[in-house]
Amino acid sequence: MVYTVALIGNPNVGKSVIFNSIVPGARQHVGNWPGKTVEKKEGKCVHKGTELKIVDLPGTYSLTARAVDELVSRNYIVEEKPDVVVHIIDASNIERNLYFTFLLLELEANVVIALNMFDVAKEKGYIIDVKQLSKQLGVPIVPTVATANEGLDKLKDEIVYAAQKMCHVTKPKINYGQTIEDAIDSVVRILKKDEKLPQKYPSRWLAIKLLENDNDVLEKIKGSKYQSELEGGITKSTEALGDEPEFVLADKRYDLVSDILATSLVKEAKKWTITDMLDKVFIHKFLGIPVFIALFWAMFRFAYDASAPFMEIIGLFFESLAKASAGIPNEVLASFIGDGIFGGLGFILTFIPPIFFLFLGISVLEDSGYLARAAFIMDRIMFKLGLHGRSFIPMLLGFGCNVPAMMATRSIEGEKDRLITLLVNPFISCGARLPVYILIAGAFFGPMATTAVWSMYFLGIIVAILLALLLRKTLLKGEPAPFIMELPLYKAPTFRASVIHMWERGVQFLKKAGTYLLAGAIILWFLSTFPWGAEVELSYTGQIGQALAPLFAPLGFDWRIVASLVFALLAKEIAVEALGIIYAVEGETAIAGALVASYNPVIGYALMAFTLLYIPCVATIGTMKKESGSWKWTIFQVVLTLVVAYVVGLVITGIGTALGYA
Amino acid sequence: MMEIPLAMLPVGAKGKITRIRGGRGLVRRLSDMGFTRDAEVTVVCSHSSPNPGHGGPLVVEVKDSRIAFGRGIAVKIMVQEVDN
Repeated sequence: MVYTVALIGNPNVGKSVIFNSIVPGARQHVGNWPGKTVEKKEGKCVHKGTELKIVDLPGTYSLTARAVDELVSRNYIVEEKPDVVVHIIDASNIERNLYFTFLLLELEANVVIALNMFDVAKEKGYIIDVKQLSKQLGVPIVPTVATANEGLDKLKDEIVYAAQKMCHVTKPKINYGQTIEDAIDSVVRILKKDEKLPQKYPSRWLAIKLLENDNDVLEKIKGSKYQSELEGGITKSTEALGDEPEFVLADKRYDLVSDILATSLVKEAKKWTITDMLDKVFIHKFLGIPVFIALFWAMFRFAYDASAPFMEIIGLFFESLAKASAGIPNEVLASFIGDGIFGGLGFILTFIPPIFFLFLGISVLEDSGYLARAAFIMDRIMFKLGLHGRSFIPMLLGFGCNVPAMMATRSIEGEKDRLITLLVNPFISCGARLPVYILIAGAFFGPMATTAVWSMYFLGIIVAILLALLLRKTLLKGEPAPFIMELPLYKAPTFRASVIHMWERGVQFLKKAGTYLLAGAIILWFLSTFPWGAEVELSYTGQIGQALAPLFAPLGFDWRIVASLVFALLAKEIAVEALGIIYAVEGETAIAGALVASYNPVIGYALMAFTLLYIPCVATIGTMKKESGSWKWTIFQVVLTLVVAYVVGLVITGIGTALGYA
Repeated sequence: MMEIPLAMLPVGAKGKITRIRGGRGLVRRLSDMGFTRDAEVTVVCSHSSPNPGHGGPLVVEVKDSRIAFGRGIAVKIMVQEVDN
């Protein structure tokens, strides 16, 4: 017998941490900002011989049919009927969290509460009488500190007891007061006449949702013989309540929560917390933005500088391997290993350290709770673009990788807001573009290299901003949806967690390197060396590049660059790999030197900009299709990025030539 | 005591929610996040500027959580100032 256990709760209460701790080997991404888990994740674990299927649901504030993520969570509980629903509560914010418990109890779910962040609550001066609380709610409660692995064994015990219906607490009947209960009862009486509905769903819950005018449930009663009778009953009950039933009910739930907490929670005098202190600076009206820019600059500077020695070491390693491979007697094999594997794949691996360090920086920002603050301080600027602060989170994440960034747009309300955020996200320069910048800037701009790289990030942001504005004014007209977001408590990012986080993303990158960067290297080498013995220019790669080169002549790109850009559609890093292979096959080992010999700095800069702006990679195209649900918008994005890249490239070449740098 | 929009509450001041003017969706959403009648709110930070229009967002504390929202919402939440 496998029991299904759903984890649910408000955003950012530690659901993913608990999921990772109780499911062996699980690596659910954990961050400190609301809306991070957008899809349900499943895993298995065995506790004392009982097999449990654990499902981590996206965090929500409510279980209405209004937002997609809320409906996902609710439908899971209503339709799949998990054996146990673990409500994870942020103990330091117990009042609002318990409101949600009532929603779950209305659903007649088999609830177990994990009173998480118990340590934070204690620090805050909250003394919670767990036993008393458990008795009042009729729900087993386990205090936990998931980050320190405290209380999780006990939690699993309780989950198993609950699953086997051996609960030691009895559920008291929830009582919302005479008027509300009468209203609910009158609707329940009509519902009970229907043969199907009460079997499928708890009648009391259906009645409450009908009173609350819940679209999804209203849809469910359509087709019932008693539909008109029900509608009449709802109207009558609504009139009896005097106000919108949903507000009366919400107020009542909060009333019940405060009644319960009156006997089970003692608050000591409010202490000055670290969050209070940090927020004095980080969300300050005037300091906020300069501090944000400084933090970001520091992060990139760190990624760039800290990685330099590592890049040197990896570079030397592959260089010596490439030299050693020259001794292989078979000519084709020697070329394959030397030029293809070491010249191409090895060359791209040199650029892994900055990507790793960039991931580390983003992890720290995410885990600390700063990300939500950044969204807040940028709201005013985002509003001018016709978006709101929330859209800023996907933009920031885009600096790591555009794929998770685009997935993070799911928490944005308003279809148009979300679509604009999706469309401009690829212009945010991801980690995979960094190798291209480092290679080219390093070759052409000497001491100005960092500035040149830095300018790419700005260019990406500016283009994203301008296009967001343009889209808002033309295709996607409208007002931004109201901005509302919870700011989580700050947490000191632990060294371990941040390094693990970085490592996991880095490993994903390495896997990519192991699979299609390797495949890419093999294909590229093959296309660049065959027909065997021909000059690279006449190889298949050369032919592809030359066929398309005339199109790019105005930008100053020759066939080598064009061919690299074509292959880089797979992944941006391949541009570097491709240049590596083409020059290695040509017999040039020092690629930077070869670049300087072949092109001028203006072309170099235009190439950096083009790489930044054109179609990010196949993965983002797939993500766009999935997230927008439309081929039309996906194709629009592909065309848009190509056009923008070309135009910006032309502008750079034009200005550069006019200024005499060409 | 006078009823004023939350947006007019100075930073650091505390208010008690009297009502929320606005569409059903918004009221519901706010109440899910803890903004209910009689709930106490404290303004933590405000990016409002004196000029009208979008005056910038603010952060308030309600039921132990910090919520950031735009001024458009802040003018719809009506409060009575409470003495600290």
